[in-house]
Formats: sequence, C-alpha cells, structure tokens
Amino acid sequence: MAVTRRLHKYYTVSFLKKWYVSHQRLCSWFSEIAAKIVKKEEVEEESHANSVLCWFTTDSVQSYNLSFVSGMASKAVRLLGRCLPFFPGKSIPNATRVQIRELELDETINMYFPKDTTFFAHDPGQVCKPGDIVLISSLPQKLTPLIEHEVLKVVYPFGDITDPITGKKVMNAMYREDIEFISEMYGKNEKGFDYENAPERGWQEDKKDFSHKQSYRRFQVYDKEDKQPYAVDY
Amino acid sequence: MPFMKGIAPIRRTVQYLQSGKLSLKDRVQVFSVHYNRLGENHQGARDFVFWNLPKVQYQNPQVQVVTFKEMTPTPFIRCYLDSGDDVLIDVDNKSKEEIESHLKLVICKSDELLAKEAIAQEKKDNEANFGYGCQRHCICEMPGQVPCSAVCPLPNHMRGKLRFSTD
Repeated sequence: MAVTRRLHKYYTVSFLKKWYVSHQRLCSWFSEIAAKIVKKEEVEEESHANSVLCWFTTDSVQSYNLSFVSGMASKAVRLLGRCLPFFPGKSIPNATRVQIRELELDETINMYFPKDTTFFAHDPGQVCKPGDIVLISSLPQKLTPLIEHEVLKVVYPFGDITDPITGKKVMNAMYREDIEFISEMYGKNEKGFDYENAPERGWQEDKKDFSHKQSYRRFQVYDKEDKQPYAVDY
Repeated sequence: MPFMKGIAPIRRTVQYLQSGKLSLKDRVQVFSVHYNRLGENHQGARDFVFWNLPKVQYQNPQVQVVTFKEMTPTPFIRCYLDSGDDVLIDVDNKSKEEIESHLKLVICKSDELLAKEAIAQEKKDNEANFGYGCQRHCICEMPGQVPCSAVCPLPNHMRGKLRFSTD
C-alpha cells in the first residue's frame, strides 16, 4: 500500500540527491530506488529497498509515492483542517488546499506548539469554500503527484455553523435565534444581514467574485479608475 | 525543572506528560475540543484543555488533537473515527475531572486492555536461558540434566581436580 508522510526537517530534495550520489556505488538496487525518488517517479510496492528508504519521508506538497513492504496495513489517516482560499499559482483544479493544524512537541521545553501543514485534497464537486472546516482522508494511492488526500465531508461550513448538540444554527458562539431575539428587542435593523433569506455562499461567483479562479494579487492602486475586477486581495 | 517559566510549568515536565491516563482507542483519529474563552459552562472544558490536552497528545501521538474556540455557545468534544463516524461528547457545565472520567469510559482503552498490551509489548527473553535474572538459576534444575554438584557430587573421573592432580 502506498503511504506518504511529511518531511523530516533535515531531509530535503537536495540532501536526498547528495545522499543518492554518495551511496550510488554501495548498492545498485539501493541506488536505483533512490534515483527514482529523486526523479519523482513512482516506486514499486513490496520492494526491499523501499522499506530501507521509507524513512526518507517527504514534504506533503512534493510527496513521493514511497510504499512499505507488504504486511503493514496502511490505514487511511483522517485529518480535520481548514480550507484555504484560492491562491494564484498555488491552487490546482479539482482540489482544495486544506491547512491541517497539528501539535508538535518541542523536546527542549516539552511543550506542544501548533504546526500547520498544507495538503491538496481531491474535491471534484467543488464542495469546499475557503474557511470551511473539512475532514480529509489520505488516499490509498496518490491521485496526482500533488494530491494525496480527498475531502470526506465539510464539517463546519464557513459562516453557517450548526451546533451539533442542539442542531441549531450558530453565529459567533451565539444561537442565531438569540441574536434575532436580541435585535428585535433593541429594534431590528433593516439593513442588517438576514440569515434566513440570504442566498447561499458563492452566489456572486462568476458574476462579481472571481477569487475562486486563477487570478493575480492586486497591484498597487494609484487611481480610482484602476479597478482590477479580477484581482485578489490577499 | 529547567525553563520553568510561565503559568503552571509542571505541565511541561516529561513525568507529567507520561502520567496521562487517557489512551484513546485505535479507531480515534481526530480529537477535537470546542470551547469558548468566556462562560462558566466552558470552565471545565477550558481546564481540560489547559491541563490535560498535552497529556492526551503525548499518550496518543498518532491522533490529531485540535481545538476550536468561539464557535458554538456550548462546549463539546468531537472524536472522528476511522470508520467515518464521529463521537460527540457534550461537556457543558462539566468539570475537568468529570470530562476526564467520561472520556475514559467512552473512547479510551480500558485498564485491562492497556495491561494486556503492556504484557504483549514486553520483550520476553528466551525461556531456555538460565542464570542471573532468568527463570531458572541453573541447568541442574531441569530433570534429565546433570544434578547439582552441591547436592550430588560428580563421579571422580569427571572431576578435574582428581583427574589432573599430580598426587
């Protein structure tokens, strides 16, 4: 089964290349596999060399298809992450960028610090929107060299969170019905956001909102006429 | 305790981290806690995150431990299993101890299971070995072997001191 893991901080592609060169003469089968890793080619499963080299884990975005010797059942790893916005030059079609926050132990002070990693999750239906909390699962085999995970479900859509315990809609740690009640007591603002009648998120896509498409970061605006409608503000 | 600065630095000792009692079941892959910064009903959840979350992560390094703040009015813990289901645990108005004991019942390995796993993990030495620290002190304890020379002396032709004596 193909399993990919994150990079050990010391092992970069350049290190792997140097390591491969230094070991080239030691063992031919060893170096063959290493060469394939360096060239980002797929490595066969159930290879003895693989099991030796499997500890050269790779970065999540540039991951290689290293597989373990059979006998080790690789369980699909599920992770909870936040969808990142479409970024020009980084986003790819049919996949959302998901940021996973994990805790990493600092050995010197024995304290856990949050560490973010970004994965591409296969999302053919474009279900995910930036800011959603989604559950992703690692694929048994990489779909593309970049996509190793798939989106299982959107757990908390951005701005439209349902409290799982009561089933009621929630906004900013308050029930929406409480917000409405309080606003009615004070006097309802007609210009205020109407949750019930508001259209679904993404209704302006392809009309005024083009941030889901490949775009560019907004250039410096020098005059009012330079509107740059297809620019992205982050 | 080196670098013992900050609030409750005891949390940053190895002995503290190793003393965690919540060993989550293998099915659990994500352990998420939702709580707020304010609100008395969240105090138990806040205490749990402050005191126990590092222990949980230390005991279960393969689980993604994640917290969400200011998302819902009531605190809860949600564990995502490998089968696709999720376990929802309401911790509204519960104290840290209540949360811990409830989690132990619901999604943690029982003490019996942990004991069994500990036994299975112990490296068993070869039972055939004898000597200091082994099951048998001497080979003479096994029936069929030469009996203990302290109890039953060897015959003279097998004793070096009588075979090679120059008397």
